[in-house]
Amino acid sequence: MTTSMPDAVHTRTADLVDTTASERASAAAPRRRRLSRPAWVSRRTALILVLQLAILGGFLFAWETAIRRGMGSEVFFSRPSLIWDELLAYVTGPEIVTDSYATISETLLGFGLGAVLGVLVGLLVGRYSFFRSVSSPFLTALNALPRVALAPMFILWFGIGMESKIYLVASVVFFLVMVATESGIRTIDPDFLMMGRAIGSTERHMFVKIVLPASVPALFSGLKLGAVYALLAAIFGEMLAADHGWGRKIALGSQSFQPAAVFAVLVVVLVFALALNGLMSAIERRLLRWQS
Amino acid sequence: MTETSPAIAIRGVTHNFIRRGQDPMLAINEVSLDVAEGEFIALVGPSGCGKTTLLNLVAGLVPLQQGRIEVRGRLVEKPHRDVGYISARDSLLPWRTAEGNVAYGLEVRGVPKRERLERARSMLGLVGLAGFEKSHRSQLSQGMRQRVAIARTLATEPELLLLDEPFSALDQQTKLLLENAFIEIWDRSHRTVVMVTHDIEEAVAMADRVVMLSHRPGEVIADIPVDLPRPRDAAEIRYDARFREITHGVWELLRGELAQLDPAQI
Repeated sequence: MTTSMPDAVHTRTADLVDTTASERASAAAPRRRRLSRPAWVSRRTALILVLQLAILGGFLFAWETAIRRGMGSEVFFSRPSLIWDELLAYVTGPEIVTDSYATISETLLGFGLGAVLGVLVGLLVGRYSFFRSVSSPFLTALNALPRVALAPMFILWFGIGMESKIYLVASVVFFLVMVATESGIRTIDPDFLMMGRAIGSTERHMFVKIVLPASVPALFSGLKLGAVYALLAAIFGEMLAADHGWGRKIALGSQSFQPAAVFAVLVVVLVFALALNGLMSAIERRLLRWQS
Repeated sequence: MTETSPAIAIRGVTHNFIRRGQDPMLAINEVSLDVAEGEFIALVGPSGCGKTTLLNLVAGLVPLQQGRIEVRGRLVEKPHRDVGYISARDSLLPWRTAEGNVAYGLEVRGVPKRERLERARSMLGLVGLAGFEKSHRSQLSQGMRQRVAIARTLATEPELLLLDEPFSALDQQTKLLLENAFIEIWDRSHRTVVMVTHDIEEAVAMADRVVMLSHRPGEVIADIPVDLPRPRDAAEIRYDARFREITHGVWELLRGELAQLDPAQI
């Protein structure tokens, strides 16, 4: 019977402490795979890109032709070539600087304020049931309230300058980030907490070294959503009342039947939104390298 | 501490599972047990006999309801830093590297960064993972993860080791390798060990004494000394006649216990 046993069983104790060859191979394999990508993957990527460009081009072409042939009113729908002219005029003109400065500042400052407070409150409420019990009715009620409905009040309280939009943005971002952080903490793998306790962690270590890093993935889903809503809230606030900003420009353009101007600003908004999202994803990838 | 005082003294411990909206369920009934300094004991019994609960009570992870547990003359109230705990699940922190995980217990104890990483690396070498210091959990096989978990606990140099089915999540080969690695390391220090396991062969191959608990409520029904020579080889010893005799005896006892059960209860 002994002769039919696998080699590993026969190895003497000293070798037994060492890792088996199969264990090493299975652990090293994914790293090797990542380096060389088969050729068909890049061909597939190229095909996807070509199709995407074709869909975009086709859509713009159809839009342009339909309006030129009178299938819709230019006053309501505009068309891509007019929007392009308007866009060129906007980005080379003086207004874009003050508008972009206002909207970007409101978005980023409001986002930063809301996110920092959201993470802090989310951590406290998620970790300590006492805080949760005390604050939950208030937080639930405030969260259920559509905060954009408060936008006119923010303008009343903080004026038509940037301040009112920063607070509006922060109030929207705060709840998104807080809820995500809290749920991240409450869904931590209980094994981590058990291990932390068994090995003798202090509360500070549990919080900083286990709870906080373990909630980063959930926290980031909240931050990414928060970034989208931050821009939305800033633009919405500006549409109500503002000195400068993309939202104000959109409101003016639509009120004066200049759809090309509205679409031109939307292109600028889109570029910023994509850049913001890209930045968030890059930070997330950097922080969550270990997840691969 | 005198020669005769036990490393662990369990006296009349009774434990109920308290479930919301239901009557409490008696899980452990009047268990008393001594574990001598440097002794390796295995706790076996049918599933649901409360052996893990008993271990968690000794670890201070579950609050004691009735009775008394002393570890090296000290009443157990909460997890103590002299006690190491290893479970079937590796619980490695996935954002840390292997060495970062092993260093965690030392970090908690305030060991300076350089020293703790040095010790972590040498512990990884001891469990056969030299060269994997910078690997994350996702890059390690199940057996390697469990090695890291064992290294993490051993790195803190606990006086007492509590193991909750530490090898049960592994395939048969890896399990033999790790059992051997563990007893080899244990042979160097002879720390007191309590290991919960459902694997009778593992219990006999590794321990000095096998203690069997009955089905719920858990009571000690047998205490079998394992008079096999050391150092042992966890794989080779399975072909030893005496090993088979003891294993057979333990199995007969367990079968007697299982026979009394209503199959629906298991």
